[in-house]
Amino acid sequence: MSARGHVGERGQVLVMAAAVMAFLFVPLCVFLVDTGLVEASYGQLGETLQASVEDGASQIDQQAFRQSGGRTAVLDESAARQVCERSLETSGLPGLEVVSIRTTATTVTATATVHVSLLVVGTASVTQTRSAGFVLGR
Amino acid sequence: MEWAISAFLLLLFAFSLLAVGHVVGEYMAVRAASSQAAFAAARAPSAQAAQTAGRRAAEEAVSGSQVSDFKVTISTGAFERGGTLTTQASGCVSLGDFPIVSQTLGQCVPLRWTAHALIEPYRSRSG
Repeated sequence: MSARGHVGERGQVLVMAAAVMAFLFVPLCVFLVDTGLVEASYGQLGETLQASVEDGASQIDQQAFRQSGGRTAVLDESAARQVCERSLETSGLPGLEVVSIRTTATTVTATATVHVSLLVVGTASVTQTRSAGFVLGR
Repeated sequence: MEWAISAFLLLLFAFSLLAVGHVVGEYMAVRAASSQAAFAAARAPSAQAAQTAGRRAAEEAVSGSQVSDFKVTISTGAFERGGTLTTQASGCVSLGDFPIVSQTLGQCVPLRWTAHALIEPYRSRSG
């Protein structure tokens, strides 16, 4: 191809480079950061929920326990729910929303969602459920 | 000439991408360190043990990462049952592996995260 043939092609590489940056690198960078944020929030939500249900599961019904001479241990469901909820609130995890806290005689189960603000797309929601039960004598 | 400019810019961007990935990875480690320190400290039997347990948990959380100047502060307050403790983990991620990027973003990107935890209401206390 002659030198004259290249004259009309000047600047094509710059356009291609700009297109690669706009359609490949920038979205990839955004994806990378967003994935990291979601992954970090997912891990932290799990840890926070686990700690909270364990806090809740430590609330035994003291009156029932004492009246039975230490033979019967049941969960104080109301206190367990309150402590679990307070523990979740205390964590201060950004975007945390408590979906439900369920209690039985021995276990506390909590479900929560964390809304993660993404760089461009908006928000992503991550939901997890964790349970804990109390164990006596250990 | 334009090939050279484009190649340089694309390469710079590609390295920036790697640098961002590196920073995000280390940021996750600092976040994990702070929250794990909080949960470990909240389960300790005394304020002194909380400091030890929290620091150990934080060090373990960042042991596999490349965070430098890592510091964790644990504020236990009076360490009352049912109270709140706060941990703050901070560190620095070096961009020394990315020479051109580090000239733009700085040699060291500071990272920080604060976590809170409820001090266990029904745990035996020593002292």
